[in-house]
Amino acid sequence: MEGSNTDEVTDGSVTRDIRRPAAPLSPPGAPATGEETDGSETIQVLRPPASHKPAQDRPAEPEPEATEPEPADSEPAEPAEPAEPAEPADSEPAEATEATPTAADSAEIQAAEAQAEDGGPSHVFESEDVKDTQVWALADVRQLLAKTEAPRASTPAAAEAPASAVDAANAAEAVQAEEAVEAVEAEDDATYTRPFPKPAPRPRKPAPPPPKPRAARPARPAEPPPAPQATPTLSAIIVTGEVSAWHNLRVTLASMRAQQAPPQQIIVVVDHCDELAELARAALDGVTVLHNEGGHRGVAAARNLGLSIATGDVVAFHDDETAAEPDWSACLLAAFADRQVLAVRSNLTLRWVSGRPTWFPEELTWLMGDSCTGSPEDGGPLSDLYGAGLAFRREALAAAGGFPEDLDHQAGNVLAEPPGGVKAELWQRLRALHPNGKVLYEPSANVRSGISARRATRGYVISRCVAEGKSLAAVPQRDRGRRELSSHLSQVKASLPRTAFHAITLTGPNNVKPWQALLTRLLAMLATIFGYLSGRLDSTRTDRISQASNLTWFIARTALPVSTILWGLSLRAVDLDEMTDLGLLTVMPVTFWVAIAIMVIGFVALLGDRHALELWHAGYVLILIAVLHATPSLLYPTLRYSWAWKHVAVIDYLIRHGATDPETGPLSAYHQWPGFFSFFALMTETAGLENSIDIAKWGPLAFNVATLLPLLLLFRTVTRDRQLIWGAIWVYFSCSWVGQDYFSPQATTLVLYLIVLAVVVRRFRRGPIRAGADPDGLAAEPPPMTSTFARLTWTLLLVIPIAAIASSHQLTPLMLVATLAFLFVLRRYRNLGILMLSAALAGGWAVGVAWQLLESKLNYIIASLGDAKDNLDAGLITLGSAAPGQVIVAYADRALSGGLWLLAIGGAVLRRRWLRRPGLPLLMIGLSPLVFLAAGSYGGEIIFRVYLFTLPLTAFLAASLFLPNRRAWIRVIVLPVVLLLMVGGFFFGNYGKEQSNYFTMDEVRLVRELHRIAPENSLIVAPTFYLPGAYDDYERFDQLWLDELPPSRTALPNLPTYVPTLSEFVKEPTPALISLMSKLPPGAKGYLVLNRAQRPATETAGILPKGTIDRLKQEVVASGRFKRVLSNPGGDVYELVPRER
Amino acid sequence: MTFSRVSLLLLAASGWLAVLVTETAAGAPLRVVVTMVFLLLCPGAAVIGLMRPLLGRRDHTGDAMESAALAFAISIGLGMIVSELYFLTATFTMSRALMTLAAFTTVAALGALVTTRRARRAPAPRREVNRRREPQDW
Repeated sequence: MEGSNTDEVTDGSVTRDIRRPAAPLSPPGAPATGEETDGSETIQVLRPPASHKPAQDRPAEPEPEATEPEPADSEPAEPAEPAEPAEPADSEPAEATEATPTAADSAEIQAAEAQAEDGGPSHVFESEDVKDTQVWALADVRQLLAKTEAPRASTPAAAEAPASAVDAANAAEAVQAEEAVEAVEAEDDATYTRPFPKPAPRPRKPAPPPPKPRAARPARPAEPPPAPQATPTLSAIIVTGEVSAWHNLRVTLASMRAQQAPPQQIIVVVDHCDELAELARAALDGVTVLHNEGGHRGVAAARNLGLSIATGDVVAFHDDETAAEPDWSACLLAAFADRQVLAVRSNLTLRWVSGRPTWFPEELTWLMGDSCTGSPEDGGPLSDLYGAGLAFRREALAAAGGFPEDLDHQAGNVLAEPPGGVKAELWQRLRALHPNGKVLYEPSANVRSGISARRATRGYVISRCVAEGKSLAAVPQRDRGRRELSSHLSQVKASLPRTAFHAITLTGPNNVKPWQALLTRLLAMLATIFGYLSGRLDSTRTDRISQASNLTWFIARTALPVSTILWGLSLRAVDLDEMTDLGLLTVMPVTFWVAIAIMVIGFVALLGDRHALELWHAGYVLILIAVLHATPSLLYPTLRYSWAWKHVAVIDYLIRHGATDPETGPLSAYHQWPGFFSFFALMTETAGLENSIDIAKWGPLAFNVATLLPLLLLFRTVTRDRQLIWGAIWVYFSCSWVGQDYFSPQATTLVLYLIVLAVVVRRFRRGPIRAGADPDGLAAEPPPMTSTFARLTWTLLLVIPIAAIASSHQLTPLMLVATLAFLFVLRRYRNLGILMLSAALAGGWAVGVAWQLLESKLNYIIASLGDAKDNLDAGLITLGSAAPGQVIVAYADRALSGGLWLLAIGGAVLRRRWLRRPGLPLLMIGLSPLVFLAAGSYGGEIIFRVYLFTLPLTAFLAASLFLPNRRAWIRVIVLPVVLLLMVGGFFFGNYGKEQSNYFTMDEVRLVRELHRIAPENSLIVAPTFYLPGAYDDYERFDQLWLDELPPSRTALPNLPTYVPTLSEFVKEPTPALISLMSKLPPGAKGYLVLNRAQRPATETAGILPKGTIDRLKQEVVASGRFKRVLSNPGGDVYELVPRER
Repeated sequence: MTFSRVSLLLLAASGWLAVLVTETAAGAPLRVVVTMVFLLLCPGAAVIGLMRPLLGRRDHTGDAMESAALAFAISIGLGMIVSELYFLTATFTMSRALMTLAAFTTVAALGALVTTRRARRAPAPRREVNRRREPQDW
């Protein structure tokens, strides 16, 4: 081989596309020439057959003109068929005598001699297994040489029989067909049966057309027409990669040359080993040596490199441990005579070079190159490509792009058969191109494969299993990867019971130690599954992404545990009694804020490390959620927030009565939409808890964690950028300050709402998405389009959560309908069915079940419709007499919300191109809640609810302003500051009113005691309902909260005279109170509760003027009409004493 | 989520296990964990297992997460619907509601056993191929 040519081929070999010859399958070789070797090689070197095509058809042919044997051109004059098998046979005795002296034990010596001749380093023989391999392999070669020699010696004519018979038959066919080769191929060839879009000819490598062949071409003008097509020609590609494998390689080569039908071309690809490549180039003759350097490591890449210069119709792949029997190629090529056959797997015999390990179970031989699904007894079609000894029709393999290199994972630095993912993907590609093609198993084509001592270790088995798993996880079609995984493991899995029995009873095959084999099976399964899972988790292809710096890596990995520990420690130093009107902020120690700062910095560092597993991101977000939402659960002695107490009371009612309350009362909305309450009543009862306080306490944490999953799904549908996805999730949780995540129907239905939307966006796509410009690489792989039937099934499945939403909350179902209607605008999500279904369920519940309540509120709802300005105003706190801390809190809320919206608008402008195409569904989901600003005030709450429902969009856009970003300083300096501000703002917004939201156990005891002593139908009055358990046993009492008094008599015309207005109460508290509490049913009493939380709840928030509570207390005591019945550090309870007659 | 036969049988039994542990001491950790896991995951998982063969290809990124989220959502949804039906008709007792859910889970899981076996019997690749265009001999 000419050195210059091969060098050119190896240059840049990794990036080069696979070259396909322009002409159809090259006609088979005329007889190979049995020319003598140069004599420098002990193993006979096969001359590649002469080129039978004009040289310009094969510009890449590395065959040098200079060494091309002249006789080849004149050969076709002779009868072609018989010559082919006979010719190489002629040369075999030479090899047999030269290469193998008679004594078998001389193999090693001979090898050493060969080595010395080659001038190779002597240390290559240090490895013992090499010698072993060589011994048996050489013995094989000798054996097979003897086999070939024998028939030839008897009758030359008979010797030709096996191969030439086939050849002749094919030749006859081929001769007639020769004129119309093109036409016949168009019909018969598997490659052409279906008019598939022929891939555009790949750009050829510019290097190979050297001037020399072109100059040589006219020198042979009288080239005879190509010989009639007989059997396909064969290129054998042998991949090797270690100097120590040198001798094995020569054994493999010898077995190739000893073929009855020798390969037209033998290509040795050296994978990343300069030494061996040089050695091979210098010492091997008649063999094309390629060096795969600089690109992908591994067998797949090396084979593709070999494939790129292969010229045979069929390419067969070997490695340096395989050897073929002499009739292998003939049998193989005979199988390829059927033009539908795309690939053939030879019959593989495994041989343990260093003895079979006693721990190795039969079911794992697929790890060593065997097929994993077994082989059909008599040959026949296969349904996978797994296993060694494969040969492909070259055109088909090249059209499929060769072996998918990115799925190749090398185990233990040993070059073995590519793992399952490569085979599964290749199978898929071949099938897509040639639906009629077949893959056969040819039992008569025998290949032997040695298993060297290096592969016969537990370490190799485990790492090979991991590599298999990783490779399968990377298969583009997840479904297929998983199927392959289970088919790989099915044998092992099925054998477990039997082998467990063997292990216990110490029975089973003699050559296997049952316990060890069982352990190997288990370890192999675990390792494969581990590899698969880790491959799946590492979902981003990180090949081209540069490694993060050590510092970044270190910060990202250490900040999480450090901040978690700091957070835990900081909770011990909290004194809740010190809390001021700024809320929880004021009592958290410095270590708490340090923990948050470290966490933010660590998260930002993690965003910079693009190789990190996403489990790390999830870990950071989960700890963020814990810090934000579990802190009060851990600090406070009892359930936080009086609304949560109210919900607990409703659940308690349901448990006590086993039925909803049909009466119209202050809590009747809860009984008309009871889904949330009934579910948690069921949960409380099944868990055997006394009440749902213990569940409610962890509500915020649980609901936020449950939100994570649908958010992740939603964001992943619109972008593939991991930085952006996790950044947006971080922003979502740190900006979700409106506090609607406590134990409540809205928190539950929000989770369900997001899950339904995530499924709708993923599974209800029915139209195409036009690809727009995507300069930032943001767009995600769009979800697959679905059939009508599939969408119908999904709709049926979604009926359950949608019905749950409709029966649990008033606002969320309307939000859902609005969002689905907005999505309906997009052609790709135009699904009338699910929109109508949601509307029907929401409307049906409201009308069918909750009509009574709805009717009573109808006037109010209609009045607030369309009054957007008032609805907005209704949500904002009146700042008149609020405490200064609360003013700061209110401004912090606004700054956080306004800031987020500004960032989101900035992000929308920056990513407008993304927003117009892949981001559209998220845009629609985010914009739809805005219509509710005009639709109703929802008790002054609507602006907060709209903020919450738009948060997925706004958080995403705000994050997209910073991520991804080419400018590192933005990520390193600006982003941490922004994220810290957001978390700080969250503490203002969510925990700014903690003075009144947290309760002491004294307060709890006070209210419990009151409920115990109060007679039925008593009236319980408090300034606000900020007392724990305000509604416990609420059906037994009447509750009256002073802050709910009407502001003036004009606002409520029919107000009875004994009920004071709020301003009348502030002016003269006691008389107003006495008047209010005087109307009592017989036997009932009136109680005034003044607990600790009332002062901050009224005065700090600015509902009542400062000092009102103190004044009330003094006047109540002084009036003589009230008797203090209960008192503890949590507050006092006064009973109204009836007027003395 | 691909369910093996064993896991489907376990799923079918999970509800009755939950019914069983409600006989143990109130508030015992085992009881709390078993009943909560059942209420939050099992009915939905069984329903998804039942519908799985009808839901089309699962080869998009995030399918497992989607299944997990849906199992959660459907479990909660079923729990809500069943319990509120009992409450609204004033017939609620804990064992009734729990047994209804357990029975539903069992039926769905056993149904899933049948549907997955059917889906497995049918050659999986062929379902993906458009029959009008693809020849049959592969």
